[in-house]
Amino acid sequence: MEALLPQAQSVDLIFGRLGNLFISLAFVAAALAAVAYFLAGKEKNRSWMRLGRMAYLTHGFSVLGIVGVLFAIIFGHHFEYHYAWQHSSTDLPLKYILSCFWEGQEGSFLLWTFWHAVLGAILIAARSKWEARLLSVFGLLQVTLLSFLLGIHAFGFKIGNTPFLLLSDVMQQDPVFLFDDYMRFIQDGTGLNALLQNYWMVIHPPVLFLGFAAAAVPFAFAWSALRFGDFKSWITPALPWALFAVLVLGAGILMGGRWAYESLSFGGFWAWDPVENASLVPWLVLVGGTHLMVSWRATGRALRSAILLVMLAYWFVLLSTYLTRSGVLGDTSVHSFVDAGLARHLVLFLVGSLLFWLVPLIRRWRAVPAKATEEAASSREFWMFLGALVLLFAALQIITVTSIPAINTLTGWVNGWSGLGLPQDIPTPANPEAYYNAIQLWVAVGVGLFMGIGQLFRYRSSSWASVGRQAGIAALAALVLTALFGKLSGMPLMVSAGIGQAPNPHYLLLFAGWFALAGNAWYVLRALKGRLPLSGGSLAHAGFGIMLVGILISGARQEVLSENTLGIDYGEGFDNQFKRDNILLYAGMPQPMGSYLVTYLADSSAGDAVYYHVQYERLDATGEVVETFVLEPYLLRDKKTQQLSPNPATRHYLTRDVFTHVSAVPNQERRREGPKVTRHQVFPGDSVFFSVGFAIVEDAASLPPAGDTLRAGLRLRVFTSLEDPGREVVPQLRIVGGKVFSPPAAVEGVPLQVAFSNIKPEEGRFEVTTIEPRSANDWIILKAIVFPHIRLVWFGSIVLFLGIAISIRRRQVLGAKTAASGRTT
Amino acid sequence: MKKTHIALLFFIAAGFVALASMLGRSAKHGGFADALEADGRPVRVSGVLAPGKPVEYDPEVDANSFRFWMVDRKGVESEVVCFDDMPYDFEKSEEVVLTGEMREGVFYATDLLVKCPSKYVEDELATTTAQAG
Repeated sequence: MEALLPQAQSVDLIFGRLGNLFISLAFVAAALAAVAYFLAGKEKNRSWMRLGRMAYLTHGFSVLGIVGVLFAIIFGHHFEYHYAWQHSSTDLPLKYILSCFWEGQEGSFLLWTFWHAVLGAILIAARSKWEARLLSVFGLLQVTLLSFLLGIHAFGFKIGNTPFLLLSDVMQQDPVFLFDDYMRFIQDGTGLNALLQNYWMVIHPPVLFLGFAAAAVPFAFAWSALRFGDFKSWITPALPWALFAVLVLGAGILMGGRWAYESLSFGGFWAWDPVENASLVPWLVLVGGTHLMVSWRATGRALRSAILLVMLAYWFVLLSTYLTRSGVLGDTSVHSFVDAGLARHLVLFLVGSLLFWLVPLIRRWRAVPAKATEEAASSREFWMFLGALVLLFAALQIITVTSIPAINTLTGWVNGWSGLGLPQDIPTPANPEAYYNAIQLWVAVGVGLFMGIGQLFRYRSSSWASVGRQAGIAALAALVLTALFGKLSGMPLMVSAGIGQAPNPHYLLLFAGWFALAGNAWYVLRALKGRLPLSGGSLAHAGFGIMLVGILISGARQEVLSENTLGIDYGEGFDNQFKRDNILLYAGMPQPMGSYLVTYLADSSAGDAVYYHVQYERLDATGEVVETFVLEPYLLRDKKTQQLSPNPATRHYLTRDVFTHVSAVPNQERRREGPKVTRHQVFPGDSVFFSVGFAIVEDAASLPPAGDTLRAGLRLRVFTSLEDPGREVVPQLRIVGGKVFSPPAAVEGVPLQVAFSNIKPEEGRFEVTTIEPRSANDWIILKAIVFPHIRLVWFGSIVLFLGIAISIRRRQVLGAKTAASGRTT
Repeated sequence: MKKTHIALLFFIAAGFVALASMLGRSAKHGGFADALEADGRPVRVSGVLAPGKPVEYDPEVDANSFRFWMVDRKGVESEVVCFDDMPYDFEKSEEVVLTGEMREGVFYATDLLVKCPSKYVEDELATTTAQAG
């Protein structure tokens, strides 16, 4: 009946037309801006300048238009558009509707483009003499980025994907589109990936992409410096921008880590996943480049390296885009986007952008001024240069290993085309986390030591005795802190290393972290006399030192609480390398776990989420409960894939976090199975095993008859673990008129019933029957990890970002002074 | 030679050491047949769940492992015991990538990566079917 059909939504074509119009307009205007600004910079021509400005502003408003239309489609639930249908649904809370915007490739490209447009507008508003040069680069970047949103086919290539495709365009084959009013069948979208339904995912992508976009500003400065042969004057105005990019990109990366910690169940904030590496690498290089820029301002050295690093950093941003969006990472990442038919376009983009900066750099390398003399070993610039090298080394190591699948694809492609026998089967590390940790541990030690000592040197040259004395004091303080922390967290002094023992390198990193803190605290107090506006760099270093300590202790000393303590023999020659860190919890049955007694209480559901309420009771040495709390890890069912994704719950203490997630729940199909019934023939003193424990048969006794019923009882003690004091249960055997009855007796707190089912008096033998219920939600598998001192990571990062913010202000002030004094250096 | 050049050489050498140590610890990509010959070295095998064979996971017996049958890309089938958490709805996975070793005809996987029906690409239209009275 017609009336019962849901009201059909109308198909509003206006959004798509408007959106695609804005895309075309933004694309053309960006191209025009690039050309006009380039000519304005070259010919110092006012009218080209005006044209460029108008074109760029038109471009900016068009980008705003694209963003606005896409938001309107998502907010208005216009599911006739594929993007809204694919990435959102009506039941999402407002805050997550924002995440829908950047869940897809197109939306995240758009977010990136949006930030470029905003930063470009700020550069225009600043009215500096750099406007023409910078904006010509920005115009070009916007043209390339927008090409990914064009969605047109030309020259046998697919150029980009527009976010404004209609559902009926994407899924032409579906019979539903035979109806004119097909929207009545499509009442809701397929929803947002459950993993992204987290508040950190609302804020992490915009911040990260702002960081990526901000890295384009120093890149544009350096590029135009090469292009126009004006090698020096760019550094002073570019420095606050470079620091801003370091701050925002760093914050974005860390927010991603926080998201992973709070909503992914791998246990930790960093897993060396290619997607994470891809954002860390540009940050490392940019931090190195920023240090070299600072060094150049003070001493006029390292200009070539500064240009190289700043441009390389931005290219790594683009390389990351390629790696994570082309599908080339294949088997090594779970997080990356799948190939959306843009692989060739992305390769072109990558190679083109590489040539764009590498060719002018090589051609102009000799022309960039460099001092003929060598810096003194006791100069700050020497140590800053070494520090930048360490960061570059770290970045290159990470990006090389992350790119192995891409390298294999590339060499395979070259081999097929040229017949050369290049290696195309380079293996990736079997355990990437352990591999990166093993290498980057030493990098972090180097970084910590350099950060601690760097500021103690003066520019140009310093007295070794003075540096030595100050470093000695810092080292002494760091040594005390290291010993204290190492002892408190129970870090072993020696670790096994192949054959025999070796000193634990973690102590070195712990020392390096504390040394960075101590060295910089000393510098702020003594040399700078606590003057905050000058302390940005030191504060940032100290914060990073604290982070290193936090990363090390929370990572190296994390402790799996949920170790399998039942001591089940798994047989088949398993050695202890295999993970044994999940435990089974029956509802209402307390299990000891570390210093806690853990009980799975019940589950409850809300929307697509099922919450599992797990009670923790912390016991002191005497077994007294000193603290009780309930954690509620949950499982969220993804609308699209129907996959369950586990979300952890964490109890935060000042010195540690207790992190818990559900790693399995009963299969719903098992609900229909009956109880598990097992008969055991026993003698007194025998043990009876059941799924979650065992019982010891103690003795049997005849009980006084009740009426004409003869009764016998069998005393058993039921244990669920070796530490369990045991519970007594006495099932009865009743004989009435020659018939045997054995009513099962429930065991308190254990999902078990026991029956005394037979007796063989002549043999002294008894039969015990165990009955174990199998119902749907009566158990969960839980994993629990303690992360000690993880707060140091978050606290250190806040200090780090505060320090960078102070540095930005300081460099702005210095820049204004330089501009006012009219000097060019 | 400048000091910075010496430092540069040092880092290049360190880079080679890092790469070499990776090759030492790396898992070779291959099939079950390669795992048989790998002699204890870890091998990374990609494949799909063997159709019609069950995935056995009984946490009441062992919460920390599960077993299944997989067909690698060359069509070789093997029994697999995995010591990782069993991903939710593992049976629905499109492709499985295992890292581990072969022992007595059973592949013991210490690491498991599951490719699920993609989060980002839809090829099926789940329409709200209206209940026509």
